[in-house]
Amino acid sequence: MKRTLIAVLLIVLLSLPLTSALAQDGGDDDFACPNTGGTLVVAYGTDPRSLSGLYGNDGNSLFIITFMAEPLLLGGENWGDQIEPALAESWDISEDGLEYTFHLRQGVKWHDGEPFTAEDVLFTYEAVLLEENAIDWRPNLMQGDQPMQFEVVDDHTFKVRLNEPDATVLTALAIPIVPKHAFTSLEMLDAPYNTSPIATGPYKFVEWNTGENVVLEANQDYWRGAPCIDRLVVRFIEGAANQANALLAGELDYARVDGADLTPFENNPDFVLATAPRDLMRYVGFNVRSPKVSDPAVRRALAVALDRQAIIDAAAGGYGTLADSVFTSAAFMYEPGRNAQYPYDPALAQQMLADAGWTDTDGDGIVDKDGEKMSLRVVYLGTWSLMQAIAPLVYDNWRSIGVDVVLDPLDEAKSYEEIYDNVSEEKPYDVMLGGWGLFGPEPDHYRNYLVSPTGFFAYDNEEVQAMFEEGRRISDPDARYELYAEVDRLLWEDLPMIPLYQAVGAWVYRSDLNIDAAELNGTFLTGLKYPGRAYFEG
Amino acid sequence: MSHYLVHRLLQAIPLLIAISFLVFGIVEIAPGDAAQMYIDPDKGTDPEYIAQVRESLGLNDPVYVRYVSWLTKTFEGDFGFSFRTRRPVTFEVSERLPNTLLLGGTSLLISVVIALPIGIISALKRYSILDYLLSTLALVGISVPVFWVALLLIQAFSIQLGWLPASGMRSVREQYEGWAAVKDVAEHMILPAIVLSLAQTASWSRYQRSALLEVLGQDYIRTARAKGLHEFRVLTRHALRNALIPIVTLIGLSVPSIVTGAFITETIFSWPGMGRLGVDAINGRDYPVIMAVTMLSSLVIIIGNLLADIAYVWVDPRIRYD
Repeated sequence: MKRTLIAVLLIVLLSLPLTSALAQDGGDDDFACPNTGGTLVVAYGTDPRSLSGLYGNDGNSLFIITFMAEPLLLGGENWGDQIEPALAESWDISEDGLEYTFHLRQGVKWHDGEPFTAEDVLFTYEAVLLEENAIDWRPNLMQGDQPMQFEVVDDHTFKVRLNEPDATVLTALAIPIVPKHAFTSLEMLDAPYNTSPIATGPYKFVEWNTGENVVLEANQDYWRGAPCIDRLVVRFIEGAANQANALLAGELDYARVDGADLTPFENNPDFVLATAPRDLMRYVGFNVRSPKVSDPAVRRALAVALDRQAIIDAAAGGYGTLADSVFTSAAFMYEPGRNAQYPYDPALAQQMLADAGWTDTDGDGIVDKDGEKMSLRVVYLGTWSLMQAIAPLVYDNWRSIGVDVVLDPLDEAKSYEEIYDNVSEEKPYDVMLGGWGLFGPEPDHYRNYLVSPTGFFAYDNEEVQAMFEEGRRISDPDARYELYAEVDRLLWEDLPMIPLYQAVGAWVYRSDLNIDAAELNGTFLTGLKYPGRAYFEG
Repeated sequence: MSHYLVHRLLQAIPLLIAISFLVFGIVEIAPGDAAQMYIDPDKGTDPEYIAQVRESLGLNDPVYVRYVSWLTKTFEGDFGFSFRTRRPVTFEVSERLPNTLLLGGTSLLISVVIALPIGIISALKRYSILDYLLSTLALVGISVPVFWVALLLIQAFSIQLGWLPASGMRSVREQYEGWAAVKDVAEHMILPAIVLSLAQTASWSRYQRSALLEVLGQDYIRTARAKGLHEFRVLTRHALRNALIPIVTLIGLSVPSIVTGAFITETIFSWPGMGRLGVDAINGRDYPVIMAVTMLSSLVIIIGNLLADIAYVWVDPRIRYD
């Protein structure tokens, strides 16, 4: 799996300087529905914020949008773990790396029957760039202060011109395309489209029953072939436990229910329980400017002190893979086993702390150095039940090696202020607990969060920053792979954050629902790479 | 009487304005604003984008400007747009209000129909085994947490027996019309309505019991009995009517909950009601929605109290508003 991914990327990247059409057709066209018809009932938390692919950036919205809308290519943030063609059939890159020419798929129709053309792509990108629209994809289309330049060559050819070479542009352009004819102007903050979208994907919008569900129906003209299942209902049911009950009561066909009690589904002939890694990492982050944890040796000691497998078992019900990288397995250069695991060993941890100069000199059970006690303020979003479960385990582990821990669960508003606002280099905490993900295969997407001086870790490492810079400039795939492999090693060594585990999703679905060809893929929010290929066995 | 009503309604206007001022102030003082809720806690978000959102929501104006503009627009009947969904607040509320009225009204009705007879029987058969049994049940009903009862009922009636739906308000697989649609909604409503009415039924039956007991000890009951009236007539004509006064107050006070909804019950049963809307709005600092929901419930509280006052006149002719 991982190998194919790398191979695909190598093919893509190898052809960068060659000015050749490189990508072939997106899907395997030989798929035919073994059975058609029926209604698939799925569930997600609550009402979406928006049904427009340009505004719906919260989980509730994205979940529905990924059934309906499509970008030019897959592999951007929220769009899976592989770069592959979607609305663009192929693309060429000029020798200087400054011009990308996309060959759009012909014969694609919008849900209302209008043809999809390069004008729609141009309209979408221009709308994203319009500041008044307040669309959070905007930084994707900016290079520094300069926007990328776009040009419609003909109905099915679209050019993107860069100001400087950028190897990450493909994933940056993976933004859901909206139809120009559905809008009266570029300003779309309050456009009717946001509640009644038209797109090109496998399912088209029918109705939104506030507080209850969104109903979609099969797009019979879908370019990958008409979906097997006629109708798809996304119900709003909050919490894995409530979704699990609805599954058991026969009111749901498919849902991700890790977090709920899964025993009723095990060895149950009526249901299939399937797991897949998600593009999500849970971690313990350091404020590396805090003098107590500014020494990497101390951070490594604190990592060795954590029984991370116990955290996975207790806090995540076992649904996690022990991390050995700050990147998830979706990142293209991820390689299991590249980095040596930090073993759980409290005695070793204590020894490591002592080697770094932290010993208990006054016999109060807390290690100290130069008269200062090792007392760490640990903040986290207190309303997030997962963090509530992780925090006391971190507390126990660290207390047992003589590190004082002050747990500080923050309410939502307070945590936005202290943790998530990303504007200050001064962080009011020593340690924060969090999770992140859906970055896709491109490691560059981690950059702002990982190595920005105002990021969660206030991590201002010039060497790593320079490497990320270089990663954008160079296009040779082997060199890129090597470069990011080095970044991976370096960050694992320097440890601005301790990655705990990569989340594993547990999907439960009716046993007569076949999703083999739909491909269960945890890096999509819906869990399905080709939702149109799910079908009910007759 | 009509004089009194007009007077009371006029009084409500400054009261509502004062409430709106307070609620607006509280939302303003609470940490965080609607724009920060656009931040993705999984990743953090570009501060510049947050600034854009803030500008687009008009959050950069001073608080008094926003309050006055909210107040004048509200008087014109315009409740503005939800910050979260950018849809009109009137739309958001009108989509959910009927669902909540339906569920809340039904559970209120269940409570009245069950609680009053139970209370009366308990009072009449005071210290009997039946009284002890009903008292114990009432105590249990008041004490058990709502969510636990809800999960138990779902486990029993939806999952094990498969008799009743566990979630939502309508079947999504079939599209029913006419009577079938009514029946469908009714089936979905049974479990949440029972859960919602449980604690209310339990406590009202206790009130009814003690109210009736108190009345039965009054001199006029003894007089009625001394006149040789049949016990049934004593009860229906003299005792019950008087014993209703405290219950009417209670019912009047609980009317607002029919409108504001019940967050926990709505969440467990995925009922598309006002409770979830209100809590989502508060979490998202979505003040146009918060204001609409609180103003609506304030209005209903005022009306509920007024209705209770009118009902007094009917149950107790001694009370007059002249």
